[in-house]
Amino acid sequence: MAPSARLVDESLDWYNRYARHITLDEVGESGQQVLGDTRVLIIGVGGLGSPVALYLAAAGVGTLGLVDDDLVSLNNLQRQILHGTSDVGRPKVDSALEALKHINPQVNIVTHQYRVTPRNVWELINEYDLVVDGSDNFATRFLINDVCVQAKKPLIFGAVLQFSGQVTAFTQEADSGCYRCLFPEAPDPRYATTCVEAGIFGVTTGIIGSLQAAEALKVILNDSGHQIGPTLKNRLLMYDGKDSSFRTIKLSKNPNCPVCSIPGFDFRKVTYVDNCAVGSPANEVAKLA
Amino acid sequence: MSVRFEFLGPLKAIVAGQEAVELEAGTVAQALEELNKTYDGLAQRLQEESGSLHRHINIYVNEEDIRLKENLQTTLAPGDVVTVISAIAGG
Repeated sequence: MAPSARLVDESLDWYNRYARHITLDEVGESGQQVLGDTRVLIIGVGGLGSPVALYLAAAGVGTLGLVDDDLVSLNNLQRQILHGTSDVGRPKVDSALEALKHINPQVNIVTHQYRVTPRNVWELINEYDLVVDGSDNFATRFLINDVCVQAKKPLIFGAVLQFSGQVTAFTQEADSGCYRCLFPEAPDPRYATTCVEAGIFGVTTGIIGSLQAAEALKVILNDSGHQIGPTLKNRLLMYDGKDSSFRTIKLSKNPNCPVCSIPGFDFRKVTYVDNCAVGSPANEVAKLA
Repeated sequence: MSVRFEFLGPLKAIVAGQEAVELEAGTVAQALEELNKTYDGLAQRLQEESGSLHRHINIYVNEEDIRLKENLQTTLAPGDVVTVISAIAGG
């Protein structure tokens, strides 16, 4: 095929693939192009990261970074819909890459098969425009929050336990609160409950992850002048699957928050120790220095 | 007129899955003390031995975080809605 004919075909494919977005007044062709120029980092490609990655890939986000050091286990498959039975034992980022390329080969997928740590997180997050938190422990969540505040990267937070979920958007605008405004420090490990101990109604991750994907797209589009509508900035949306209810709680920016309100915060001075994750010994918590 | 306490998410189990509990109390601390008489284990789920709240528990009075008010000494008035939530981290 001649190069010009191929370009015409690719262009038609692009319009056809994203036709239902482009038809929306709030998105349009320019909004779709913005999505294609955006780089999103998804930390954790498990229960939450699966629907987030699937929807963002389908939506045509240009680059998706996937961070996860874990391998697919059989007990993941009840909720981690990026992975299949034949993927058991494989790195999650590899099976995720395959699934996402199947959905949308136009998306650039970058895999990072390691755990996010204070040593690697700054460089990693600064390669992207927006971060989605799909991690599974408090230490990582506080680390991601603190670095996103410092790097001024919008962060879409989501978490689940049993039949419950929480989601919000920390946009890093001057009036935006952060995770530490909501919960200043990680729980004492004696009281922290993990999904391993407590269980998780699988579809809860799909509901919360889909909401995270929606918030990510809205933040990206709003920031580029495509006014979709208010995000969950300064609101915590809570879902209860037992009675199929949603509630929102006002999330006030804490004027004394040492991370997002008091100048001079540096995440490198904070101790982040994983006290709640699977198989980790309980010891220190993520404490501010 | 009483105060309405709502426990959200996993905390709802503390009050046997009820959507809300109505009671009369002058402060959040007094309300928790009262609730603890009826719901076994409530204090342990929400408070340290010292009586302060666990750091993964948030209480809001009419959507205002009590940490930004008078904490457990935040006063309650008839008709107030008190919401109790917990940090969760599963993914």
